[in-house]
Formats: sequence, C-alpha cells, structure tokens
Amino acid sequence: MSTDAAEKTAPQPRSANNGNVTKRLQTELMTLMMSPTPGISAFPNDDLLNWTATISGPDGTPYANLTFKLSFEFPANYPYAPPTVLFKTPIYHPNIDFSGRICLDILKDKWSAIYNVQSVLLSLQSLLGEPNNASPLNGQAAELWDKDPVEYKKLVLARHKDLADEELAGL
Amino acid sequence: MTTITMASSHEALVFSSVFPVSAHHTTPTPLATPDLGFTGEGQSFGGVDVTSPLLSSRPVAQEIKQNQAWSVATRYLSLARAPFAQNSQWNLKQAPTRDVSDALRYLLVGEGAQATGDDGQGLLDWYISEIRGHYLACVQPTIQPLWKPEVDCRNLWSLLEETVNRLGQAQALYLQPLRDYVLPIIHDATSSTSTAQQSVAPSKATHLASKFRRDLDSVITHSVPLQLVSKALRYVLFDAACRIFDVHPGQADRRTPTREDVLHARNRTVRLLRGLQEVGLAGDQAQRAFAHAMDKLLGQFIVSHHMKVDWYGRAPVAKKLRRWIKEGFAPFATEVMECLNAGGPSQPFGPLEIQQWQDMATQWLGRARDCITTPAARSHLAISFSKQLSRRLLHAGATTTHILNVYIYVIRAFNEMDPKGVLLDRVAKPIRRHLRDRPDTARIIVASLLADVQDSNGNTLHPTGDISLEIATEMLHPVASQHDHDHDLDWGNMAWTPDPVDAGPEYRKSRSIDIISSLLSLYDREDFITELKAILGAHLLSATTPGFEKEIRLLELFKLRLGEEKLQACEVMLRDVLESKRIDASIRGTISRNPFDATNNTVPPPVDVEGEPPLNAQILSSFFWPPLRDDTFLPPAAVRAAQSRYSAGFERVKDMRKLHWMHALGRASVRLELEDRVVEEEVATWHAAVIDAFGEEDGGSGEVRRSVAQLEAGLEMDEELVRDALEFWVGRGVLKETAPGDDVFEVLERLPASGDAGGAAASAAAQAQAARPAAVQAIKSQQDVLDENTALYRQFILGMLTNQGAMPAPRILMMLKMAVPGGFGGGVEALRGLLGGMAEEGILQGGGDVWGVKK
Repeated sequence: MSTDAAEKTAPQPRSANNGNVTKRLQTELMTLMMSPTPGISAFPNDDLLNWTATISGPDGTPYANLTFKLSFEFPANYPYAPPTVLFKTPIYHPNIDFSGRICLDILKDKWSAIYNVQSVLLSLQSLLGEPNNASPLNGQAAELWDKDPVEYKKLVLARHKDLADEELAGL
Repeated sequence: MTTITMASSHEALVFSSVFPVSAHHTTPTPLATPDLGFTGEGQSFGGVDVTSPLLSSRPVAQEIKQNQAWSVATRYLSLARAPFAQNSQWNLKQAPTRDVSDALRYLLVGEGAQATGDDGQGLLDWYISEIRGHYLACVQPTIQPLWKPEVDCRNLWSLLEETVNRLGQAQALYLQPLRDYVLPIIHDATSSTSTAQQSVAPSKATHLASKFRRDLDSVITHSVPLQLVSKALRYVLFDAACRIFDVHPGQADRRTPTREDVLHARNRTVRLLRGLQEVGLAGDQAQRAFAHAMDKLLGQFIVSHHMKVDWYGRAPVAKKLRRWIKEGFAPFATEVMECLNAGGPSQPFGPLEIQQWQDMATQWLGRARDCITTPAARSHLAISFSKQLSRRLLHAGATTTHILNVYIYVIRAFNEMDPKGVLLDRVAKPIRRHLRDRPDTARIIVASLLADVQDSNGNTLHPTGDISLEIATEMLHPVASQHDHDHDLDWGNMAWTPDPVDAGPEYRKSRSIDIISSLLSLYDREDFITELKAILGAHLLSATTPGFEKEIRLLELFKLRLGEEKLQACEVMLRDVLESKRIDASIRGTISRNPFDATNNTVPPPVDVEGEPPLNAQILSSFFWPPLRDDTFLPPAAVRAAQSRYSAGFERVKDMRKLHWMHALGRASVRLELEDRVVEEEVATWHAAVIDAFGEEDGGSGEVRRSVAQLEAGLEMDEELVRDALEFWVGRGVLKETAPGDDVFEVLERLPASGDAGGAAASAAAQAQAARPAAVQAIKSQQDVLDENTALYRQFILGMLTNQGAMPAPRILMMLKMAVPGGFGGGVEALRGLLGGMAEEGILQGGGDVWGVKK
C-alpha cells in the first residue's frame, strides 16, 4: 500500500537523470559565480532548468553599451543535448531573427558536452562582434553589416529596448 | 359509624373486627361466614389466589380450618384506615394473640401452606394489596399536597425531608408486623425441620422478604410524583455539593464555608439519601438526578475556580482539576452512590466508576467554555484566543523560551479540550509562525532537548540559560506510537469519523498530539538537524564524561522522531568520539609495546617522549561534522613534534589516511612553575600556546616580555585569539601588562601584595574575560558561517539581480536558498543587512524592500 516504498525501491530513471542535470547546473552556476567573467552573467529562474542570462555588447561593435537578456532552457539530458537559447531583448543581428532565435552551430549540430553556459555566452558575445554573414537569418542585417555600418548601428539602436523588471519576471 | 372510626385507631381496630369497613375485594372474610359458601367454582373468595386445583379434593374440615385461619390472620394484618397526621405515629401492631399466631403459622408454614401449595405467598400478596389500599387512602393524600403548589427552591430540602419522613413512617408501619411476627414464624419453622432443608430455609425467608420489599417499593414509587422528586433531588444534591466544594453559582457573597458547614451539609445529604434509599426512592431516578447534579456541579466548579487559566505558573489547570476530582469529588460521589445503592444489589462504587467520573470531568474540561459546541462559537473561541495571544505573548518582549513554554501549555490545554485538534490547529498557527521567525528558536529547542533536567537520582534540576524546562521534561516521556498510517485509507476501521466540519483544508487528523513532534515540525527537518549537529558537536567536544551514554540515548530518541537516515551525520559524530578513544589507545599502545625499537626507523617513534607533553587526539570525520573552528597557529614545538609522531602512528593504523590538526580545538593541561607559586590549569590550546611563548628565554635576560604584535607573528595567530589568551592569563594573575595600553606583557613571577594595582588589573581582566565567554567556541556559529560566505552570497545576489531584475528581499532569500549550495545561512533579516551593505557600496539600489542592481 505504500507508494513511498515503490519509489524507494525503483527510482524513476528520469528523476535520477534530473539529479545529474541539477548537479551539473549547480556546478556551472557555482563556477560562474566564483569566477565571474565581465560582460556575461547568468542565473537560474525558479528552477534550475531555466536560466536567464545577460550579455553586454562588446566594445567596438555596434552593440557597445547595450545589454541583452537571454533565456536558457536545459533539456533533461543536458549536457548531452544543447540548451535552447533565445534572445529576449529585441536585437538586430544577421544571425538572430526577430523572435530571438539564434543561428549558431554550437547550439545545434556542433554541440558538445564540454560546452557550458559560460562558453555559450562567450560565443554569443563574440557572435555579436563577428556575425556569420554566410548563413544569415536576417538578410538585411547581413547586407548592411558590410555596406553601411552607420545605418546598421541606427537599426540596432532602434530595435534595442531594455526589458522592464516585470517582463524579466515573466521569463 | 364515622364517629367510631374516627375515635381512635384502637377502637377502629375493634370496630373493624366486628363490622368490616367497606366492601373491598381484600376485606377479610367475616368469622361467621360459613366456610362452605363458595361463590362459585374457580373464583376467589376473600383472598387472592386461594383457589387451587387441589381445593375441591380437600376434606371439608381442612377447608374450614383454612378459611378460619385466613380470616383470623387477615383481620390481624389489616390496617386501620386512619388519616396520616402531622407529627403523629401510627400505632404499631401489638404482638399477635395466640390464635392469631397459630393462624399465621398454619397459613404460612403449616398444613394450610402445604395444602394451597403457595408457601404462604397468598397471605403476603393479600397483605400487599391491603397496604396498597391503606397507602392510597391514608398516606398518599398527605404527601400529594406537599408537591402540588409551586415549591420554592429553598424549601426543597425540608420538603424532601418531610416526604421521606412520612414515607418512612408508613413503611415502618407496613413492615413491622411482617418483620416482627410473620418472618420469624417462617424462619422458626424452617430452622426446626431437617438439616437437609436448612440451607434452603433462610433463602425462603429472605426471598419472601425481598419480594415483599420490592412490592412495597413499587407501591410507593408509583404514588409519588417522581418527576418532581427527582428534580428536587437534583437541586438538593447540587446545592449540597456546592456547599461542600465552595462553589457559588452566580452568587455575590463568597463566604468560604467553614469545616462545620461542610460537615453539616455532607451529613444532611447522607441522611436524606439514606432515607430515600429506605423508602425505595433511590432507584434509577435518583441516580439520574445525581448524575445531572454532578454534571452541573463540575461545570460550576470549573467556572468558579478554574476559569482564570494560569499561563505563567507551571501548573496546568487539568492537573489541579484531576487532583480535585481524585481527592474531593470522587469520595463525595462514592459516598452518595453508596447511599443510593445501600441495600440494593451489592455493586461497589469501585475504580471503574471513579474512572467514569474522571472521564466525565475531563470531558467537562472540554466544555470548559460552554460555547464550544457550535462552529461559530468555536471559531469565536479560536479567534479571541489568538487575539489574546498576539497581544500578550507574541511580541518582542517575550523570550523565546517563554513562548515555547506557553505553546506547550496551549497544546496540552487544547488537546484536553478538543482532542480532534482543529482548534489547536487554528490557535497554534500564529504561535508557530512567530516562533519560526525567531532566530533562536531552533537552537533553544535543540539545546532543551539535550539538556539535563534530572540528575542521576531523578531529582529535577533547574538548568539556567535559554532552556525550556517543559521541552526537556517532555523529552523524558516515551515516544508515542510513531506509525501514523493513513486512517482514511483504513477501510476496516469501524471507529472512523469524518473530519470536523470546521476543519481547515490543511487539517490532518493524524496530527500527532505529541508535543515534541509539534515542535520539531516547526521547521524543516534539515534545519533542525543542522542545528542539532552544531549543538551536539559542541557538546561532544566539550564533554568530559566517558561513555556518552546520555548522548547515545538522546540520539536514539532523535532517530525515532526525525528518521534514522537523516541523523547519519550525528551518528558518525558520536562514533567518531567513541572510536577516537580506541584509536588513540591503539596508536599509543602499538608504540609502547616496542619501546626498544623506538630508534629503529621502520617503526614510528613513540608518541610520548620522555620529558615532552603527552598527546591524546580525537579523530573526527570532517565530512560529517559541522564547520569547526580552524584558526591556525603554531603550537609549541614539543606539541608539534608529538603531533607529527601521532600522525605517523595514525597513518600506520589507518592505512595512510592523513590527519588534519585542528589546533584551536581541544584542551591542554598547563603547569606553570613561577618563583613563588605553581599554577595548574586546564585551558584552551591557544591559551597554552601563548603562555608557552613566554617561557622561552629571551637572550638570557630574566624578564620575558612580549608584545601583542610579536605574539601574532611568532605564533601565526589571529589577534583576537592572542588577546583572548592574554586576557585569560592576566585574569589568572600570571601575566601583566608592563604599562597600561602599551600592549606589552610580562610574566608576573611574584604575586603582588593584595589590593595593589596588579590585583585590580587582574580582576578587571577576569571580568572582561567573563563578559564575553562565547567569543571563542568550538563550533562555528551561524554568524561565523554567514561572515565567511559573505563574498559568495554577494556574487550570487549580484548574479541573480543582474539577470532577474529587481526583487523583494524574501524572494531573494528564497532564490538564494535554492541556488547556493548549502543554502543561505541566515534569515531574511541577515539578508537585508547584506543587501544594505551592498547598497552602501553602490552595487545595489533598494526601494522599499525591493532591491536591484545599480545601473
């Protein structure tokens, strides 16, 4: 009659998996907190499988002095599958579409378990300064990047809008 | 005819012997009537049940004799219909004349009885109906008027007594001939016959007597206005009990009754009850009346004596009440019940009944506030009680210990009052919330649980400090049954009842009434266990008693309450302490067994070297212990050497495991030989290290002086510890500061004469030392942990607020608890302090209680 006993004797494989994911993410969080990298930051939301990250635009790029919020969603088999990463702050970028989806190889087929939140954030930060214009999601941005940096920068600033606290809370 | 009847009872008797009073079916047969004049076959003549199948076959002479005897006997037994007069006695019957007694004997035990085969029953039956007639005619008319009008309560006593008196007289009249003349005849006759019948004989007499008694009782019972009598009795008993127990229902005069009053009331009650019993009115009705009266009494007693609950005293009301029940109420009830039962079937008012009364009283406590039955009233009670609590108890002025004690009283009281626990559930909520917010609650609970309340002889100790004696006492109780299976799923449970209507959604019936578990459920078990580990660790490290029996017992108790698996760490701690003794002995033992191999390099050198301090160690599994003080400093060289030898020994015993020395823990025995005295002290290790530093000769000059800075550098010790140690030794009069405020100390080789400046400085230092005894403790306090991890917390807070935006402090606390490994070591207040500090540094900005990263 005891469901408790059943759970004890036959632990759900899923929960064991979750345990590993949680452990891994906990470690990643601890590393991020103890050795903070300037310009990038991340922290879990209400549970450890959903994080919010912050990237500040690198100096010398059209994104300088702007900050961008991203959402991380970790699958149950993380780190064997990549997290789903989205830009929450509206951004004008050749490899990012208007709903925030990112075209980056290490978040797709080039994902490896040795990557972590920190390395993904660093890659995304460098992506801001060095877009891959060969496979753009935003063709106009890819064209303007080379042709008209002033117009490009104008469009970046026009599109950028900091999220309010309430919007952040809803992430 | 009427004049004659009225004249006197004696004349009436004479008259009635000649002229039977009136046509009545029980009228005795006139003497002159021919015996053959049967009215008809099978029909009774002049008596009850004289017909019999044998009748017709009997000889005529016997018939005549029978009838004559009957006639004589009934005439003798018949009662005069004289009215009952106030304060007058009926004349009792004189002894029967010879022919009367012959007739009686003939009818009762002689041939007549045998002939009719009824053993004289017929005569008694006739007598009863005669009594009934007499009673209705003469006695009842005198009693009825007493109860007719509205009766004033104050007159009830006398009314009842009067009634009992009259009935008693009538009864005496009725019983007298039977007892004096009829029964002896039966008795004599049977006792003179053969021995074989002797055993049956008394029973026959008693049987007849008791049957008669019953009939007589029923005659009386059916004639008295029972309802009224029982109501009156109810009042009278209640009144008596009120006098005896000094209860004043709604009366202003609170005259304490004297001993005589009590005695008088008691005797009067007993007399009345005896009388009632005598006349047969002490049946079920009386017992019911008594029950009513006692029910009311219990209520009144509680209202008048125990409504003022003494929260601050140590005696709960229930205990006092139980004592009253046991010593005052039960004896009274027993006495009354004895009166009511006297002569009846022997049924001692034994422990069982007392138990019932006690139950009743306990239940009454449940109705102590008489409004508790309706849900509205219950919620009113709960609300007003909560209000009182929050106004009078749950404020900053009350100590946590006090609140805990009151909480325990509340649990006890409400469990008595409402065993279902619904009210307790409601009332306790604010207390629990308040307790949860207090930072020291968990510590006090755990410390109280570990505290000694009884010495080895069972005497109660009164521990000082922040320890709740109630909790400690409660811990001594055996653990109540712990398996709380789900009663709602127990289909076979015939005692199942639905939850009370006013139960809240979180109400659980199986909620344990056990006080300890209610306390332990205040927090998450983990929080408690953390606290328990800290306190137990300090306790174990400071404990000097070998064996640790008490600690083992307590740990087992905790296991029962908190679950075995959670206390693994505590168990390891306890085992560490026990095992280190063994390992210690074995390390030292291995070595001393080969004292001659000491020089040989294959065997580690002995731990104890001649002339150097002996070293004993406790080996703790650092993983399971709470964070310990790891202040480092350089112990004296000799100790260091002993430590390294010990480590080598340990590594041999324990397979290359390494020891990490915690220098700040532990004790050292110090013996200081000064010029004029020898000081022996058991001190903390850093005290020993500091005083050791003064022992080194400083370039041959006699005076050894050390400054604080020198000691800090030389011993690699924190300033805090150095100063603590210096103060300690100054307090002992071993060191002194060369000049006030220059931070240089020297050894006081000779004690100055008492009363001079040195002594004063020593006592001042001792006072300073005593003022902060908690400065240095073995186990890191919560504050220490908090301070240590501040940098980590700040990083996490920063990361959180950067990414999640501004948040209120409680939410930050919650997120921190989730995200930081090991959780956050403090409450929301500690966090606010931290946030405030960060805001001051310009990292954060706060508005109200919402904090965000400064942009």
